[in-house]
Amino acid sequence: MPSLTRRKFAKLVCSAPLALAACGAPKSPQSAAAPAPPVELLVETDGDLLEFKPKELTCHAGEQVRLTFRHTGKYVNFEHNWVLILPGSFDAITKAAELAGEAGGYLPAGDKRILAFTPLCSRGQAMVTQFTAPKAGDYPFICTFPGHAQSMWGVLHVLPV
Amino acid sequence: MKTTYRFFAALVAALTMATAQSAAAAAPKSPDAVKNALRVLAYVQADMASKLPTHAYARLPHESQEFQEASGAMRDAVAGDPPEFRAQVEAALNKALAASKGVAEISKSNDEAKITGSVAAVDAALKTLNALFPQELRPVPGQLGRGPGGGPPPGLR
Repeated sequence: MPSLTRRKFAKLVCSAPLALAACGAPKSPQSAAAPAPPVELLVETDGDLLEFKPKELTCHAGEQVRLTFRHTGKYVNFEHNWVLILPGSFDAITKAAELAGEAGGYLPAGDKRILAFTPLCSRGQAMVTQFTAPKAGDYPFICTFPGHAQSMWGVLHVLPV
Repeated sequence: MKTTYRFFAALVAALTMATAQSAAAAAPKSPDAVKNALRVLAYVQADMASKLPTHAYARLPHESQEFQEASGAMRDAVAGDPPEFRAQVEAALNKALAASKGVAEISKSNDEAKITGSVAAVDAALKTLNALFPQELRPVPGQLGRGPGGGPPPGLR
């Protein structure tokens, strides 16, 4: 194995970012257009109440969405998540979440009816998830911690492009 | 003469009742914080009650702990109120907390009737606490969530 002198090592380290940048450089006019930045959405718990705030969110079909979920509780150490589900799957998902249990983060792993989610978070924490908005329609979002979804739910309105 | 006497007697009785009611349900210094605290406690109690139909009794000690935590919101909400009123609130709150601790204890028995009774005792203690505050600050039973039976409306559910 060839020995690496200090000078050669420094040269290698300095050139690495350039090489990486070159890899990501546009190769043709088509790829020159930068992808649109994701749409930023923010949803929080309504303090210590078992409610989301706001209860309604909006985006367009096919958009990249970067959603931040913040737990703004102050007193009660509830755990919450934000889970976007297919319409009509509320009862099935909440039951499956309970069966998944604490070990499964109260989320049925790999369930196709879950379109996006954040892991559970505690007071003062924030979680981010990124997803492609589904086709136009109204989609419920819920907290899948057992019992919470009865009041902790909202609607993502996905508008046509 | 008799009619006039009856009218004034009724008027005095009505005024006395109104005064008594307003004294019993005093207006707190921080109504928004009180409203929020009462709702937080009601939510935790509702969450506790939601474990009964599925017999998820193992979760009840956790809910009881959350109820203890929620009591901090109530204490902070009345911190600026006169000591006599705070003492009334503290007494009612302590009864609710004792009832909540009872839920945690009784949940270990797995006795459905006893557990249901203990959760109902928390609800009753909360009603006493709520009664110390004006009507408009109290949570409306059944209106904490939205939609019939909670959860999204049938079209989305």
